[in-house]
Amino acid sequence: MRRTGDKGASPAGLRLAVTGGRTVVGQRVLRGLDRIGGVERAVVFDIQPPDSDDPRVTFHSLDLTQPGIESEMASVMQEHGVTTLLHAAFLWNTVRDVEWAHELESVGTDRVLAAVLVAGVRRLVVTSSVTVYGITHRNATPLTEQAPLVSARTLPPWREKVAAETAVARFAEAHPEVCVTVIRSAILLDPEVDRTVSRTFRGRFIPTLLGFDPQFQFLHPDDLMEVYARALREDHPGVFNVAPDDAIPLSEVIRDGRKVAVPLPHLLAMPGYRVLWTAGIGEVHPSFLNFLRFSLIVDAARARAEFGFSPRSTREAVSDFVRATRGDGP
Amino acid sequence: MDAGTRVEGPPDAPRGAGPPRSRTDLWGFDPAFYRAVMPWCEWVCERGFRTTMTCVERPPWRSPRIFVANHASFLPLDALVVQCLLDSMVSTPPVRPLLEDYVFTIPYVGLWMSRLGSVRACQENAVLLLQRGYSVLAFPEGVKGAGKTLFDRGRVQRFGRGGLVRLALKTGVGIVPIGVSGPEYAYPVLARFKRLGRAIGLPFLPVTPTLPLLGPLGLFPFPARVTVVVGETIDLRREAGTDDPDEAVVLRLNERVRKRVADLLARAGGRAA
Repeated sequence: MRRTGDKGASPAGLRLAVTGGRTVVGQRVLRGLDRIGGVERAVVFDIQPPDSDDPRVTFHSLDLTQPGIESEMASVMQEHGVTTLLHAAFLWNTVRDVEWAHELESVGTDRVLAAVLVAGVRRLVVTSSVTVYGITHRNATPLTEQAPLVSARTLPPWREKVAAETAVARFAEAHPEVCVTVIRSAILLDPEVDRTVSRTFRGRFIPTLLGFDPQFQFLHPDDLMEVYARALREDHPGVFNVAPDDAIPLSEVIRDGRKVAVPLPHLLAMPGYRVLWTAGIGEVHPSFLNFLRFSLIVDAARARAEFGFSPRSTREAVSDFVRATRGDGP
Repeated sequence: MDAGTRVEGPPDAPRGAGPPRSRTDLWGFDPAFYRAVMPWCEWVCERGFRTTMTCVERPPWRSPRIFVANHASFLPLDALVVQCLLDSMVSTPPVRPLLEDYVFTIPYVGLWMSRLGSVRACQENAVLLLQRGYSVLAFPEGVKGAGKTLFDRGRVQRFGRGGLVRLALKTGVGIVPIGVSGPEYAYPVLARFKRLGRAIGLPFLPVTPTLPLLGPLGLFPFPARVTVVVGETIDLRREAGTDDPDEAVVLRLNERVRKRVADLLARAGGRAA
């Protein structure tokens, strides 16, 4: 589906705003402003300044969890003539403070949507991930964008992300004049990111569950950047799964990376992780252990047709990651 | 690596000399593993279970089929035996069993069944596999069939809510009914405990003469004699006269398929006795 002309790209250059300048996606986009092309200004809303010395980046301190910030956010965006907003202020790790997560992700998204309306922003790109589908053995393979988002039940800490996505979907329907793009990206393997998945795969020992070998789709960080660059540059309304079209078993990732698998019996590991989490030691919510049991595979055909490019295969993402983390690569 | 030049190409351009593709498909099916293991399965079927197979219609089937069988085992032994017997009789890619959800929550069992081509039974999976040219093997009795005790062995349970009929009408693929008798003696289930099973994430905990008693050794099957009778292809679209039926038609056709499976099971059971 192609739209006639690029009605979004104003000749004056792209005036961009980003919420969450230190999140994985926010940081990548701020570092890759040249990839997007024609960016004149990037206003960052966050509670701490972004890690960037690009002259086009302007930081504006703003806490999405505070009530009433939407008018401040809207007036700043109007002042800078922002036309495109990237809403990336989502948590990438599980946090124990569920109330904060609720205020930031669910209520915070409502505030961002209100600011979009007031400021007359005409393109909104929202960060999401395939994990909103939840992880259960009942998932279809592959999951299309129409699949129900069951992560509220299967991954309790992800409840707020589903609530945010629901709010965004309602907003997109009610306000067709705003081009809303939601990107559900596959699990990212990024040597530069210090988050649970990448950190685990960087280590030498990988926990596995005895008798299970799930399939994984890993997204290459360059492809993540590319899809966001296109979503911010052109109009691509809709919800899109972004993932490679192949999947490889965990055992192959471990073998290719020359890692050591540490198999645990799941009947002991699940309660064990639950105890660690409750005690405040574990860094992952126990429900995420199901990623070592079941597969979460998505169908990215829609994004391939809409964005006109296909991400690298999972194998390439894995081998690039392995090369980069071993320290002998480019 | 410069991605900027790479992504400019046409959407599905070949990616040049990259690392090799995965050896498994999206569902975890590993064709190389399948080819390596199938001769052993055949040997076990022939020598261990002394399998006999009768076909009403002359194979091979040259286009995909929906094979529909009764359940005869709580572990997917029935699926494995039928898959193995059909292996040489379809000239399409291997038959892919559609199994109950709980199978994939059992360690090793779910993994190996996936590697041999099994997928979770749902419309999306079945449609996609048929589109890709695979035949599928369905057990529409579901958990009710898999959880049968030895004393219920001849009774074919209800065939779900007719998802099978909808699948056949939607895709226009023919249904081949199959009766399987014997695997229930390989694991003679004398009783089952639902609450105890739920505690470890299974729909029920079966009790066989050896199973909880000998621990994992109890999973070794008894050398039962297995009989499989394969009926002739049913063209449901012709029988229904439509490919968009109402609820009543779906249930009527569903019951008709169930009757044919029950007839074939009676024939298979007669031979085994």
